[in-house]
Amino acid sequence: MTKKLNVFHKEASILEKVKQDIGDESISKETLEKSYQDLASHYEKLLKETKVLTSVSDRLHTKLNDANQQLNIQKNEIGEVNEELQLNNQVLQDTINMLMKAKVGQKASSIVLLIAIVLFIFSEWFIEPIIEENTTSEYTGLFLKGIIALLLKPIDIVIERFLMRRAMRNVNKQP
Amino acid sequence: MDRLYIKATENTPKIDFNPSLEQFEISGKSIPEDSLGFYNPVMDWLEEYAKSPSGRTVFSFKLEYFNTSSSKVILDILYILEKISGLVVNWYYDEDDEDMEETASEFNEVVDFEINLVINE
Repeated sequence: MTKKLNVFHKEASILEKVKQDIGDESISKETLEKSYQDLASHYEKLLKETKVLTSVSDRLHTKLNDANQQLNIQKNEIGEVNEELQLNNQVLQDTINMLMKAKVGQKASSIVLLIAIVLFIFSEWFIEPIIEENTTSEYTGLFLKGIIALLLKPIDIVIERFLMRRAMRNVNKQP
Repeated sequence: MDRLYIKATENTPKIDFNPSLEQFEISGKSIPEDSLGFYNPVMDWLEEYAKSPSGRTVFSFKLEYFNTSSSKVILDILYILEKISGLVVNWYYDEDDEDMEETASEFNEVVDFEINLVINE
């Protein structure tokens, strides 16, 4: 299996070579000295690099941290704007509902008025003559008109509910 | 040598080494999990190019952000570039990005050529 290399593989191989030289008893003092000088030279270079890399890394981490803090601030701001939007949305929805209710109520009243006129004409032209023919009481016609008048409010409620349901369905259908 | 082109990804930069145009560019974000795995073919290509470079080599770094292991590899790339004659190295950064400017200055201290600091347009 191939061992996965890391970014310091060259430095690791230099160290490994020197360690082998130290452990090799057959190696001459001059060669060992040369190996030691190479190690010192590489160490010096590595130390210089480490200083640069640490400094660069710290700076970039600070940059990342600053960006992260900025993101958090923006996230909070977005949250606040979102809450405000939801609130305004609710106010708008309530206003729409009130407007719709008023519009539906107006429409229902018009329909009830029309029904009342039709019922009045119907009772005057068709029912009144029948009552006059068949009864002697003068209050029967008045009683009938009273019933019609009392029925107008429940009819108004039923029509208003029906129109409201239809309006809500239409609103929900809209994308 | 043939052009070396590696498309940028979410974590790795775009590599575009074009010897015929004498333009060499590393740009984008460099935060690969395996930096050496990504940059090894790039460095092998550069080592090969350094043996017989064009008369002029314009090398541009246009990096937005890089992780620590990438900074080590960038340093290794700079060492390879030291071997190339007729070299111009440009380090691009945003005007308000002092971090990238200072980073380039620090890299400049460990190599034996001048890194030109260029503000992005």
